[in-house]
Amino acid sequence: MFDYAPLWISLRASVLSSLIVFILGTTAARLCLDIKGKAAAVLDTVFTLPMVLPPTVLGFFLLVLLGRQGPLGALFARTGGGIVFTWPATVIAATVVSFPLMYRGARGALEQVDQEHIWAARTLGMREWQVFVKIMVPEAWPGIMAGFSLSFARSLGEFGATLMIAGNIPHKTQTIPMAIYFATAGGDMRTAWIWVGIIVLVSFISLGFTTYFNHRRKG
Amino acid sequence: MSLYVDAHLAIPAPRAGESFSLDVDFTVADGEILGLLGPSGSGKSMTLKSIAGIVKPDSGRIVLNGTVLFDSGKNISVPTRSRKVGYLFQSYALFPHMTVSQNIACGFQRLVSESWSAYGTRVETVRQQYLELLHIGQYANSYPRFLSGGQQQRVALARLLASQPSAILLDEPFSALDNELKQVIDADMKTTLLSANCPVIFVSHNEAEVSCYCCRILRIDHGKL
Repeated sequence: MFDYAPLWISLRASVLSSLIVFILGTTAARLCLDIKGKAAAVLDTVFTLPMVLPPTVLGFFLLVLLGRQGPLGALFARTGGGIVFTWPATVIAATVVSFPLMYRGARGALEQVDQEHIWAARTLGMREWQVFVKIMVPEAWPGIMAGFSLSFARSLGEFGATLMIAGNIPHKTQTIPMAIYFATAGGDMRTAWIWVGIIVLVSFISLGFTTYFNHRRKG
Repeated sequence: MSLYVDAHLAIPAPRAGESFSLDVDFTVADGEILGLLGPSGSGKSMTLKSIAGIVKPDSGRIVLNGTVLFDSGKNISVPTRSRKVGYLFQSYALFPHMTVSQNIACGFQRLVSESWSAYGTRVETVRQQYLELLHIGQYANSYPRFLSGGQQQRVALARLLASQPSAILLDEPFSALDNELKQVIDADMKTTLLSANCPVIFVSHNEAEVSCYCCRILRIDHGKL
């Protein structure tokens, strides 16, 4: 009987992290629009850094932060149990790694919203959050969704950071990329092929959505 | 009740030797339509944007119905949303993802009622009222991109009036329309604007248009009146 547990663990990590990243990335993109000058450049670099850093480096930082000796980890340990090597760790790793894709996608889309529409909304008496929710997000929607599907695909393929902080515990933290690595290492090519097939298929569909939304954005 | 504007603004030159400075000072009374006439780049739009709070003048004073909107001396600059200044953009700036009806509903931000149900009924009544006033009832559920320029203009005007502005600013309202259509809208629009009974500023580069609407015309060139 083929063990599908990695599929569910991967989907749980990807869906949850995508939702978190959707909120965080869009909000961060909105905040960055108001900031100018050097602070903006610094913030932009920090938000984009996870995209270029090796995932193992991100995993390392997360381990330092969330491990029992780390500042956040100590807090969790006091309130009952650690985060490291549990399933929430797979969500955290996926979130950090896929955040820049969502952030950059949302930012590019928000920057292209017609300034006159934004000002028109303000003259009509809308508060800033209303302008954001009612005007900016809907007008930037295709671009935001393109960033969303891209970050979903990225979180599904997350390997390095996940290995560092979630480990490879079957039925607990073993995601699809993890299952592929250990199946291949163990010579179980049949299992590896099945997972490779599944992940190529899902990634293909996700990128299809990205292309679709990017196309809608232009047309 | 009136709108008093005294604004000075220097814009750093985008290219050398092309710096622009704006220097205007005028008053508009309630129910008066003031025409601001000038070629493009003369500072007409900049004047309107200063009044609406889209652009911040370097110095000056803007007072609407006794309320100070901007005073460089006292460091006052009321945010755009609280100025109660209606702005009709050259492009009309209709929200493309909303129907005509929803666009107009965006003007109801300042509508207040005692209860939620009373608010709902009120919104519905006022929405109908503006749809009828500007003869756009039949397009209530259409999206702006399916409307002609003239229809879009009516929707933008309805949305603007729905926001209960204390002053109305029109930025080249007819530049996006062809001549034939202008005449149809002209008479109607003038009545509607006058019925709002507040200061109106009409900006245009077309003398015929301005003289048709306004009893008083100020010419503006290179930022000076």
